[in-house]
Amino acid sequence: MSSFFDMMSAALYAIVVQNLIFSGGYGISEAVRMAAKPRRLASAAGMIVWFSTITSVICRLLDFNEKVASQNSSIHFLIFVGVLIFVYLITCIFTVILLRPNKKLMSNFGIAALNTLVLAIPLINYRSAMTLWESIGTGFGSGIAFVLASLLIGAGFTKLSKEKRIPKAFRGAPVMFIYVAMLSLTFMGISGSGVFA
Amino acid sequence: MPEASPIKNKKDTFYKDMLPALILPLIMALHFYGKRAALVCLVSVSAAVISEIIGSKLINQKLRLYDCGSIYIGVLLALMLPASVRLWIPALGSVFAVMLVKIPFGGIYSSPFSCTAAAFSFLCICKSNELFAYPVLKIDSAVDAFGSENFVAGTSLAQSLLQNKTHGVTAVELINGFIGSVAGPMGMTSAVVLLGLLFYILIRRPKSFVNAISFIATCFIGCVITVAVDYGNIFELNALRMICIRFFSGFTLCIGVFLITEEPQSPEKIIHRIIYGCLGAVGYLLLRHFSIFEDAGAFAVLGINALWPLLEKYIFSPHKKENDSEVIPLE
Amino acid sequence: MSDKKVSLKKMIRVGGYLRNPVLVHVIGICPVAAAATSLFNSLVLAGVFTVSLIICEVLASLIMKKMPRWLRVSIYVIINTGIVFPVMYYLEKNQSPVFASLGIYLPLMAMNSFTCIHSEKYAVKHSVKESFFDAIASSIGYSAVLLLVGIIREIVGSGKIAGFDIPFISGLNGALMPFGGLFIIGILAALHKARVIKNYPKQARTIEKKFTLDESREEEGTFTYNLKNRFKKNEENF
Repeated sequence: MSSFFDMMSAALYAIVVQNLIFSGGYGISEAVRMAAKPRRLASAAGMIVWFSTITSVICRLLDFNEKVASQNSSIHFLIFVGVLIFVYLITCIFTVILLRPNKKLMSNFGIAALNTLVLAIPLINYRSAMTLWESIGTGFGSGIAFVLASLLIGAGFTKLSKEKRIPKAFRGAPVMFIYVAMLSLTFMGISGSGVFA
Repeated sequence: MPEASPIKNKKDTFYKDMLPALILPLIMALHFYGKRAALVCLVSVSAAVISEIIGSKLINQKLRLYDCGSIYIGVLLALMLPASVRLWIPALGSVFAVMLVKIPFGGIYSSPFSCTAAAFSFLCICKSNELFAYPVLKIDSAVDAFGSENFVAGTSLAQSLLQNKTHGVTAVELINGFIGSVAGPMGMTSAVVLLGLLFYILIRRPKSFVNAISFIATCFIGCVITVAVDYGNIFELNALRMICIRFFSGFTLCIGVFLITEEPQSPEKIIHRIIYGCLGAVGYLLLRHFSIFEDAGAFAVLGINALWPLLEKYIFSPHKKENDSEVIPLE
Repeated sequence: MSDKKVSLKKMIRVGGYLRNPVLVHVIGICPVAAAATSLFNSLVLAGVFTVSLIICEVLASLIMKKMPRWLRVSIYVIINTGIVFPVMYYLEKNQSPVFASLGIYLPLMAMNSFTCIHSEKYAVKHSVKESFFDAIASSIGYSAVLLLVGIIREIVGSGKIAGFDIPFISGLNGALMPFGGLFIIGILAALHKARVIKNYPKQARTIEKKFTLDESREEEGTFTYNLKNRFKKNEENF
């Protein structure tokens, strides 16, 4: 039971207390891109959860080995990237063989698996010395945080796109940056600092 | 393309209507803190107006001081700060609010976020220790600036709550707190004034009154529930005292009267305004409990400002047909 | 593939300035918004980014055109990791303050979305020379923004420049947070756009800087300019 609560509290932490996208800046580009494609958001979020959770779990299990645990952070980084690429390639190969998917789905795998948010999860788990259940919780939390970020950005931008009074120089990317900055400021209200500082 | 009017329609004169509402809190601030309060307010308003002038020139836009947005931001921000705050802090807050929250979004009536709440939140992140360092109330002598030798920090009701020192708050102090004669934000300590302003809002801006009353009522119910959980019987003297302390401390009434009522971010329909006010209050109560800041009310306002477009898009008006392509054109 | 001569100067002007990857295309925001908090941090990030982008684009153009896309993407990550790891190892071994300051953002450069997107959208469809020039141009644009943001944030956030204290400036730690970085990028993007509209009005109208949120056109629904058409239609205008 306590493991379940550890997992839930880690997930909640990653979504609300120190939202990974707004408080840490991880995966902002992808969140902005996905904000314009809300129909693909669920599948993108699902893939992010899959890749980040599996990678976190494998990396955490590897850390039970003393030889691995004793390495410095640079070697850990190599291990984490290696595990992520391995998980990505295995997923792609299985998908290609079993599902025969279209090109769009395969390109989504690349975006979902190989972005800053997914690699940030095992790195954060390692630096914060999280337990296995907390690592799983953070993985789940990352997907939900990504969905929340994309929905908030998309909804805000729908509102802004109707606004004709925005100055010429700010229309488009500049006002989008300012809007996302305001969302980031909002999420600072709980912890007052960046991610896991 | 002709420049769009800064005011969406003739009815949209929210900040002009609400500016007189700031007079009473300003008078209370001047009464309690004297010249220092006037100076802080002057610096804050001047910074806001000068930023508006410079910002408008930089983007080659017609000056829109007549919307009273900058003056409103300057005065309200000053009244939310302690009188002992160093003068560059309200100036910084005003510049931030105007240059980064008002102008980029096309003016105060098109900003999706409350400019004053954004400024206060920004100052919270940068200088939280100074923002909540309220000076001891000395009506007959001048207030000392934060960091100076003679500065003495007082204890606001919110700080008493946080430090679990509420058993020391007597009935006299509670009454002082109700009047406003207690350490706290310069113009937002007087509950009697702020509650009285609800009548002004009811007459002048009845739609905004809905936001205010939903927020304040939800906060009050939240305080009663938390006290009921802690004390059991809410009709006990200690419990009633506790309800008063929790309700009147912090920025509850300030947010209810000034920030949650801001028209540009408010929904159109009455039922949506009620939900907006209630959700804002829930966010505020949660942040009061979980935030590291003494009072994260400004963040709660930003939160509901950010959340509302999402709720409107997917829950309250999901079938609303938009244009075929919603485009921000280059020209 | 274009038969016309491609000059580096023109590519820098277009790819690095007019269509700056950060300020216009909104790609690779994470390191700029979150990690570029000082001049030294920005220099390290810019260096890593430049080397990885050049190698990725040249290799993508040279040998990876026939590979399936899902495999190419993983190779980009491997190349980036190969560049990031020695830098990380060296900084960690020497206990450099830059390493502590960058935190996990330096290893995250291995996943920089810009390298992947650019190599896919441009390098695999153009010659090696064009890809190399494109990488140079994009790196200059990206690094310029990184350095500018880093310098501004160090001055405003820490009251220092290159580690040296600046008198009379008290740091605002809000500028060192991601939201501070995003505000600064937003202002730079607005200044950039104003300059482009003023100095290149014809090109500014030609560039389809539209932000569409039309869900019925989800395939094209994107905040970034369509990189496929970047050089096809508009070369003669420049």
